Amino acid sequence: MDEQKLADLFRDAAHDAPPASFDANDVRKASHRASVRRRNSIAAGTAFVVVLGFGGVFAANSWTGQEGGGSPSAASGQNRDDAAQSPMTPLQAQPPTNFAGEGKSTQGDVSTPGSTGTSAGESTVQGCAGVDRELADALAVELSVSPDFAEAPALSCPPNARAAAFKIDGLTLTAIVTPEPFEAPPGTAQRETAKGQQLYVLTQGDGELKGQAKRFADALAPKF
Amino acid sequence: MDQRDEQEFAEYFVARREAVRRTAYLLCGDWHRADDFAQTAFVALHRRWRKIRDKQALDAYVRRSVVRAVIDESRRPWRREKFTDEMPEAPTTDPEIAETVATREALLKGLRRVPPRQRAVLVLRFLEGLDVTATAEALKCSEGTVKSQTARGLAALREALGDAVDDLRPAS
Repeated sequence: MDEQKLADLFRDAAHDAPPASFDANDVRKASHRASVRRRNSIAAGTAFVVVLGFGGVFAANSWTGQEGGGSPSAASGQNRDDAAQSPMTPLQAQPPTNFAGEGKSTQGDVSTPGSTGTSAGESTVQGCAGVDRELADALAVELSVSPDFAEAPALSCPPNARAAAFKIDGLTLTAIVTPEPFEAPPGTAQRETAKGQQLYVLTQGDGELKGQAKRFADALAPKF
Repeated sequence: MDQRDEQEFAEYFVARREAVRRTAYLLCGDWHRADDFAQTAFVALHRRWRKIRDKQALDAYVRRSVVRAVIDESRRPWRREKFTDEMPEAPTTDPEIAETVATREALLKGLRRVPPRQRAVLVLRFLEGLDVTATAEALKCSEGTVKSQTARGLAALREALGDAVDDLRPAS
């Protein structure tokens, strides 16, 4: 069979074509639909990339912010700036600021102005359930240790008291400041602070600093 | 596309639709699917109409689109329709017509057994009447590939047809 005969066979096989099921208008519509689909998919892809980019920037900022917040002094400075620029009323702004000369202290005695001297970035915890940063900082200076090692005292004290404790070589040194006197454990050194509050310093356990509670009480009393 | 482009496309579509449908039919063996493939090719052409500078290359573009659509389809077995050996038409009593129909059916069945790429070469060369160069251009392959695919395709067709079509010889 030569090429011509083969070509005839091919043409004959495709000879009786039924009417076409599509026309130019169908092609035009399908082309338009395909173009719209493509445009939409490009738009969706672009939107996804933009959202992903913003998400990444936001996540990076959050991460950077958390890293910066780890430094107490940085947090203190940030809070101070926030307080200075805050549009809130003085009454609303009081609780978070809590710094000397900027508002009233809520640490133990709401009627007495706060007197944070060193870096007091964290919010103060009342009672002996937590560590009062201001007291911890002052005590850490006297002990020559890092304030990060401060612990919550294992004592019960008035709910409006402020407290901090340090464990040094098996000995626990605890300082408590209350607006009103309370029944402290035996052996506790008691002083009246510069602002008329009651300061209690006691040692528990054995260590180099045992029996030196009075010395620390004398050192801390003028600061509170 | 502007009005002029649409008009040009419509003219080209009217002139070429049946030829493209026939090519698609011999490639796939089914008129419904052939219409789908042909429409796919024309849609692709419509979308690129303004970008095709050389209007002489339109035929090659459409042929390539059809062949690619058929070959792509053949690679998706889960989407491929199942063929049946039973034809829906009632058998004719006229011996001459019966022989013609039998030959046609034999050719279509034989073509289905030829690999898609070789089938495309055979259809372009013997239905569309393209020479080796034009076929190579339409399929974006070398002329040597077209020659070898033609020889292998004819051999496969001959083997598939057996005695159904007399003395089928390889084309030169």
